[in-house]
Amino acid sequence: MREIAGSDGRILSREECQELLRRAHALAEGGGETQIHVTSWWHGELRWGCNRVTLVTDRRNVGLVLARAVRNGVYGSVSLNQLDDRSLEAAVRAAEWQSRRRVLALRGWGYFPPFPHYDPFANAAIWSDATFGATAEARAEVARRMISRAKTAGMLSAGYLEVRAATTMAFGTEFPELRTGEHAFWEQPYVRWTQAQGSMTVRNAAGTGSGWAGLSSYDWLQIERACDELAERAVQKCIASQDPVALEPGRYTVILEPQAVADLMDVLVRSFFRELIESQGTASPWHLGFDEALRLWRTKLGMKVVDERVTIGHDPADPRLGIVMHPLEWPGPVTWIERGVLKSLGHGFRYAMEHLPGRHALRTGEISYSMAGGDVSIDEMIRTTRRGLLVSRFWNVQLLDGESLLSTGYTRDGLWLIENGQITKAVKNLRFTESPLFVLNNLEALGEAVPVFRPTRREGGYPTPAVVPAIKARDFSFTSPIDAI
Amino acid sequence: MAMRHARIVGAAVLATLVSAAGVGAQKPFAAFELPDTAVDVSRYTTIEECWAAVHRVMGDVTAQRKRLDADNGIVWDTVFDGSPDEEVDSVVVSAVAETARRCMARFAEPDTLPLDMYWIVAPLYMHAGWEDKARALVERRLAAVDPDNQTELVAAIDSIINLYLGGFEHRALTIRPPRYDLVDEVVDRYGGRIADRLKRIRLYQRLAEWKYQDLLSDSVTERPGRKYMKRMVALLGSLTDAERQRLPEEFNAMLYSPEEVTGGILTLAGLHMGGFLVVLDSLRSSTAAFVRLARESFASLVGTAPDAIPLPMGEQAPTLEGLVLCGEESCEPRPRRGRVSIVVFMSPGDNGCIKVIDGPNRMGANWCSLTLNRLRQFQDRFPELDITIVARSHGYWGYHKEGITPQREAELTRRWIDSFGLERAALVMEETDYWRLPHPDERRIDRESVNARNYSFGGRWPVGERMWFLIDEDGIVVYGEHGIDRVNKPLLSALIEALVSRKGARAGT
Repeated sequence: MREIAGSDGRILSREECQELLRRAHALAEGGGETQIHVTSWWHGELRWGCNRVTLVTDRRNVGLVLARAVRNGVYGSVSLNQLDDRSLEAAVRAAEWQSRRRVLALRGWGYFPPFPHYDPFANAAIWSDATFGATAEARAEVARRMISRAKTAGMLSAGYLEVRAATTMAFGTEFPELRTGEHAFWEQPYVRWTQAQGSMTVRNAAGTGSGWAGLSSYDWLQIERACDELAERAVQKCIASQDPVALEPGRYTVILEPQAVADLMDVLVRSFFRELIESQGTASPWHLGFDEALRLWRTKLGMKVVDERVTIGHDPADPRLGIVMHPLEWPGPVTWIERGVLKSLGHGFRYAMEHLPGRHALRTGEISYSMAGGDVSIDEMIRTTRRGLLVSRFWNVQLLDGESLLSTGYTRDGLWLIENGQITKAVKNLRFTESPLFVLNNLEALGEAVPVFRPTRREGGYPTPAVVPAIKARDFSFTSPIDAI
Repeated sequence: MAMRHARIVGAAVLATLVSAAGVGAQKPFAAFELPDTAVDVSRYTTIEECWAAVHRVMGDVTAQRKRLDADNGIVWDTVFDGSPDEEVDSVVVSAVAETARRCMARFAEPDTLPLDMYWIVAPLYMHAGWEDKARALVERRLAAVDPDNQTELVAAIDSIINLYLGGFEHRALTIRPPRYDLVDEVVDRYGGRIADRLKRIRLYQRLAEWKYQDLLSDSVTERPGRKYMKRMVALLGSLTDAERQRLPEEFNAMLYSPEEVTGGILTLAGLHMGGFLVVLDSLRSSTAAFVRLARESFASLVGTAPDAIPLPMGEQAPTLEGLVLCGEESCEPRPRRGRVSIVVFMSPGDNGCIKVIDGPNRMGANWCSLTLNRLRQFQDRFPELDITIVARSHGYWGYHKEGITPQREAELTRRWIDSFGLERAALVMEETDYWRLPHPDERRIDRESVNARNYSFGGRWPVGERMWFLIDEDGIVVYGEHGIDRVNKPLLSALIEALVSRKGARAGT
């Protein structure tokens, strides 16, 4: 198998993907069509705990979903990661066996015009040679610097550094007579991307304080350059959070650092993607119910739903927000909420074609977004707070109610009480039960929007970057104390 | 209830007509393969294992049958002249019978088996070809019924009928073809022992409907169907007031009055016993006679006014509005006077026709392609027939939207129709008036179609996708229904034939 230039065979090239389709189709028996969805990924990791490196790996894999439809058969598919001829032939036979089990007379579908050709947005910032070239030694050097800072402060640290590269491509042989470009419009053209992440948790020796800092980007250089700052932030948070005091749960004015905002807003942003216009009757914050006169489900599109300072959207041209583009999905910039008004909701390609002007699709998938910020610094937010809490981040946020987006989770790695414009003491973690919609309707101030730590969890997963500001909001509901540090 | 009557009317006509149609020659279906029966089932030691083994062998076959079912949107009747069921059944019989015989060899004595297993064992015997053993077991079951326990008797008869008919409780081991002769044997012998006359009516009605369904492929079963209908009508006429009041509950029609339920049953009975043949004969005389007789028959059976018939009959067909395309050229409005016409409402943008596809799996046959194939068959059989497809613009076509106009939609639709071989059909494309919700929602809201409104004749029946109207040479609506399917296609064919032959006879005179 040929390798792409400089890839060391870690990920598949476009030509290799195409070759896989050719080989699979050549092995086909019984006519019909062949589809493949091929992915490949490489992960380089470094993990440490108690200031000692515990794991350094380089892993890679390929994934092939091979589908065959014999003549008059429905598609049968097989997944495999062995690409030798014998394995591929076994997979083709298995898919054909499945296909033959159910017959579909694909006849009489009549005239169709040639497929339109939609180009996905091709200039998203998702590939970094630096990331792909980050060696184990380079990762170790960054880890050494971060661990060194914790040691100097007499703290224990644990951390994780990761670089990834991945590719995907989905295509098939169907309807060659209708194709106008290299791909049918539902297929995923070859794309490759990188991701890098670095995070560090620092604890004091007594285990009474915890600090955390992290950053993710498609570009390893961003992590490399920020590693000292990340280490310093984690150490300082740990020092400042030592020996926390218990605080009565209740409603507090909160200052949410950008990472906490991103953790909380996840359920909100996901709610935009549920194909809500056409999903009838689904519990959703954006539904108004069925309109008997118009015979359709009304939504809150065009209605003011949050504070007018809130704008949430995505622009694939933003270098901080690069995601993998598909011809039918994410065809361009989208604004979900503009100055507090709901402007867009997710929907499928078919729905857009049938009901909306233009042609676009905003479908459930990997989520990237930016939230417009303001010019108020966190220090200024603290200075103007008579009594409130400063939150570093949230953890284990779970959606409780899809209609209100009421969610629950708990604070982590730093929670401080603010009294009369100053941080006065560290506070033990609290569980919150709150809706991001409520928070965005009780805004007091917005800080500068910055990239946050938001790596994908899945192996070979797509990037999910986010750019969010710090938020100051009133009446945030904490419902119970949490003993964990 | 009215809609049910409507369906009954159409379907009953079909029932009387199909018997003359015959079944075309079968063609082999290349993709069909036998399931693997290599396992040595003769070593299985329990009846349940045999049931599972036979079930497993049938499983693949049943799955294939479902895929071949035209009701699932497959255009098999353009592939086969007749139904592929018989071919599939023959495979089922051979593969399943072999499995059942080998496995049940050690359970071949019906007198020694526990009775509570009869509902499993009897179908296994039937599949093995051991009909006598199955009958013996069934006889044992019925003989074991407590003479004073009517509930048990009704339940046992019901279960056995299901068993012989391959009903849903026994779907896993469905007996094909249904054994009406064995059902008759059981009903003739034990049906009279059911003291509750409503339950007997229910039983007869059910059997009549079963037979009636099977008329589609076997005209011989019509006579037993009539037998049950006659018994049912006789019983209905002798019901006491108290029994009559219980009818809605017994027939699970509590929203209707006893008279309405009686009317519904009698409609089916009357039509099934040949009444509509007379009505159809009247069409050869005149549409007015046909409509009048149909209305009167319906009214007398159901007890409503003749005008209440829930079928589009006897109305003057409005001229269709919109761009009319014959081939690539515009042509005169439809329907044309002096021509027998069928008008079918079918827009490519409507659900079920050409859809916006977002993957290859959606590029398959659908209800509209099925309808167009059937129209092509009519076109080939009746060259004098005017076929008109009525569509409306939607602002997109398939996956094309930019620059689309009603004219362009008409052109694309024309090509789509032509691709089914319907070159002689006319297309009427109505430009749809629409508005959009305010920004940012902007959803398109289509206004009512003028043609659909006109053909609803004052909202008397909804004109949805695939609604068709058969119109005589004087522009009078003879009949109409929703969709052309396996059930009503022979009916439509008979009506067209009557109209065309009538027109020819008139021209001759």
